[in-house]
Amino acid sequence: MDLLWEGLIEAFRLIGRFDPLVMNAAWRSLWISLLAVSLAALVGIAIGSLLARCKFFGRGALVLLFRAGMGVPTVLIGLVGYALLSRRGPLGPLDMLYTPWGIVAGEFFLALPIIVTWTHGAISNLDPRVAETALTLGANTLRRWRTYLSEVRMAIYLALLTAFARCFTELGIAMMIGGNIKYRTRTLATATAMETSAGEFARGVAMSLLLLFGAMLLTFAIARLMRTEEER
Amino acid sequence: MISSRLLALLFCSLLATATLIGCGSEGASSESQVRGEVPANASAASGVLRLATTTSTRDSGLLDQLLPIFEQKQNCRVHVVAKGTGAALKLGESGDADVLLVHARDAENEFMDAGHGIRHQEFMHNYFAVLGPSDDPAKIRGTTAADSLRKLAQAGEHPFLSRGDDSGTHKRELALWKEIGVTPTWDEYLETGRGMGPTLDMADQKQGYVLSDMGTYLKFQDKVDLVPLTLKSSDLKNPYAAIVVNGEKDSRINTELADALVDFLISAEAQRIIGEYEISGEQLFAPVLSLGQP
Amino acid sequence: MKPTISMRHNVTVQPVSEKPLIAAKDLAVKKQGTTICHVPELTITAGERVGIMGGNGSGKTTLLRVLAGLEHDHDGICQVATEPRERVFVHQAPYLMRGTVLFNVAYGLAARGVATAERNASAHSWLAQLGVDQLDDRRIANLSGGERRRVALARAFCLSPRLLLLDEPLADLDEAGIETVSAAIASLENTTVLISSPIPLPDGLVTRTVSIDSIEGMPAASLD
Repeated sequence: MDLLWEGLIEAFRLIGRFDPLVMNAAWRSLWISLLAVSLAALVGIAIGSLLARCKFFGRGALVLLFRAGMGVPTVLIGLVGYALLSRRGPLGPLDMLYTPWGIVAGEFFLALPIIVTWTHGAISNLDPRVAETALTLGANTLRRWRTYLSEVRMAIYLALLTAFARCFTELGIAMMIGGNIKYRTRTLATATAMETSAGEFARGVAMSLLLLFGAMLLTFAIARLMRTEEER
Repeated sequence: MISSRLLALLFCSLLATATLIGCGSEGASSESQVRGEVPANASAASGVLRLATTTSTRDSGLLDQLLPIFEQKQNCRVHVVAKGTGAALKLGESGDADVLLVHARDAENEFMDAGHGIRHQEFMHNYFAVLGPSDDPAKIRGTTAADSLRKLAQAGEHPFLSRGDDSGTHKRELALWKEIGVTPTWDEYLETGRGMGPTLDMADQKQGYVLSDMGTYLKFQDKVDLVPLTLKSSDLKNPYAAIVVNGEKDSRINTELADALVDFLISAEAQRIIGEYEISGEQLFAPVLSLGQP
Repeated sequence: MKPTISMRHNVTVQPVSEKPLIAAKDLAVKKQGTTICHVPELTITAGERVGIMGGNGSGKTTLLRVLAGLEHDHDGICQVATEPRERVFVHQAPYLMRGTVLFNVAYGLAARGVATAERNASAHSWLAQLGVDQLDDRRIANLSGGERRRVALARAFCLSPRLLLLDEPLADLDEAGIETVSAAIASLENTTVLISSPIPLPDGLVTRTVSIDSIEGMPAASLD
């Protein structure tokens, strides 16, 4: 228990004096996750909507695939990403290994199944009257899709939040593809792992508490947004 | 179609079984594997020795040669925890390890001065080397470690991977920088905060330079396109020491077995094994007993 | 031309134009393989306001949905001589989109590319005509049944469709509401087909009625 206490105190100390290393890692965790989730949202919402409303051969299998994809361990994504981006790997020439962009790419695939699955679920379960109303009021395909997404926006917000929390706190991808390079690819998660491994348990606890705070802060913010949306 | 009730029943019984197994006698050691430590009361009661060492020592594979012999002689089990030097020393400090195998002389001296250890015994050494790509763009081949670092700092453009984690290797690197009075600040001086193996891999991926112990290097030789470039010099010598943790800290500390291990390490048998241990046909460590050259 | 329907009708038919707007023959509407509504013949010409009557489960809603183009599983012929955009259907329990009342009412106009100011003005005027102008910037969450109904109807009416298909447009309305809505429907110069079962229809709302009886042997409470 002392460890947790020490860690808590250390966490406040680190934030209080704006410890540059910690701030740097926190900012990196933040923008990498945000970017990854944004890209995954663009692609994932489209895929999820398509899967929900268009019938084609193999649709059921794809849905199952994305659903299963939600449970992929981050170390697996990290390993596969490493193998692909390695100097000797097929994507080596892209030079993305041990860069933050590599982490973004990996986290993109972490976020994608979550967003696809939630979007698909929400749109499949839409009241059939929505489509009929839009149709009989003369909405064209684009407008109808905008309407569907508008109707399920709560589910989509939740999906984005879940995906963000997952990306913000994950370790496997950031470590294997990022490499924990100071001031370059060190995230809060990899910094935590490093501090713990070096015996700096208090700092390690402090970092992981910061991770928790960060994720909780965003969760509350989005929950607030969703509640105000609901009430209106 | 299996009914959903049957499936639910199956799942619950699987869960229950797993829980029971987990809580059984295996539970203690599997938990310790997660924590990296043996339960506190294990040492004194039965023949279990808690050994803390560095990742590079473990990765060299030498312990896999030596420890089984010791375990058989003493009819005990040795639980090895490998972390960074700093963490290993901390485990000694808190009494969570009985014996330490480390290689960071300054930190070791501090540890002994503070009274955390009651016996300090050097038992082998190897060398560090600055590794780099075979085409050596910075042209440090054949220089001393100090000169090579100076050249790299002056060029200021080649990637250099530093451990950056307070490990024995990192401390040696910092000592070298101090020796030449240079602070590495160029863009491509990268601190990884990771173990030697991953750091070597990163040096390979970037085709940059890195200070490594030869043990880990020889182990990863086949996997990385890096070669040792510097000469063996005294400032690259890397002595390994065994430290018996001060038993007065805690009754759980098994000083008897710890002492026995240290005695074993400097015995003729162990020293011979150390001298003969090779990876890819190259000797990794030099024993301290003069069975050949030191 | 006297419409050839083998059902009861109780209002004199007005003179009609030549080509029928809706022509159905031997129409058997199915749901999951079972026929739930059979119309031997139904002809509706432009300008008529037709009320479809029938007991619960007689398939009125299904017939209306077929006319709206929402049900495709049927035998026989059903021809509706309008473009899809000229035909608007309002559900028995209308669905309002997330957003304001005004957004909903202007939805169809927005879909047709009408400019914002124009479509909002049109939406306002129809909301006024249906007596719910004050609701225009309310969110749809807390509307009463009657208010929802009027909003949904306004949403349909402001599109000035050639063919208007209304499922229970007078449900949930009080007396004043019924009067307002009926007047609005009557004021539209188009063809309207509506279902209004238990409520006795106000005079002049429809020009004729059509009754659908259940198919013999079918239980009364079936899919409607």
